[in-house]
Amino acid sequence: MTTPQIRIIDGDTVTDRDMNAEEITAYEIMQDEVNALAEAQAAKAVARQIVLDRLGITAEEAQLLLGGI
Amino acid sequence: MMIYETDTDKVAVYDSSAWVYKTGTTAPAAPVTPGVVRVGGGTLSGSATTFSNVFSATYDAYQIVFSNLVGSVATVSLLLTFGSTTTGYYGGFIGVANNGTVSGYGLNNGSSINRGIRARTTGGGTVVNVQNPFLTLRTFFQVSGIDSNTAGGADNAIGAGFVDDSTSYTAFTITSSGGTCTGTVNIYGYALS
Repeated sequence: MTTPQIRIIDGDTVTDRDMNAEEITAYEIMQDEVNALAEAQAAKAVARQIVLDRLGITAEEAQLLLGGI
Repeated sequence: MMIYETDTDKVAVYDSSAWVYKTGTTAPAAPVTPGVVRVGGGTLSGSATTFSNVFSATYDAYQIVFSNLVGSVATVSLLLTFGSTTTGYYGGFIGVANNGTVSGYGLNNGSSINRGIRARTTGGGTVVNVQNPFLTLRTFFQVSGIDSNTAGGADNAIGAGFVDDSTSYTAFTITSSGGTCTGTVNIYGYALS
């Protein structure tokens, strides 16, 4: 696996290098959280569609009920 | 008559026969020009870009402007972290898609500011305002951003939050998620008056 690259900008000095161990740990924590968030959103979308199907209305009609413009 | 000597940083008063230096006097504070002052910036590259030494005692509040954000894949989220802190980000965001669909997103002890800074292959832009990053107080932020989605997704977002610690930060990092991103970041300090 390729080591993620990081750019450090300090004033006019720009340094491009491989992430160090601490930076990779932080990078992985954030990536894991974003992936979990995406999975949760996808699951919520499926659940929303199940409810809409049960009610027999479209997403647009549901938005009208909820006050969407 | 009274003068201020810039070479000695002393105030002198003429007492009708000689100049008498006043002890305990200090130089007057340099005048502060109201407005915003650019304190740093540059172009994004790779998986992450750190902007070092941009927060200081000179300013309490900052504006970070993201321009011409172009992702390597359809949608790239950019995650903002202060210093090396990857915990304790709290807040909430609202996204309104161009079809009117409203979505809410909570940020509950998150690892970054993970909403509102996004890019597509066709572009994106965001403004983030930050208060107190250098002070040993909680850092507060407000985000307003959008990418160039025309398909009805909730890809715009406004939101606000804070970092639940009192760390003094001098730097922040932008990390790409789901691809890489190019673009320009400019950081401005709001001059104290």
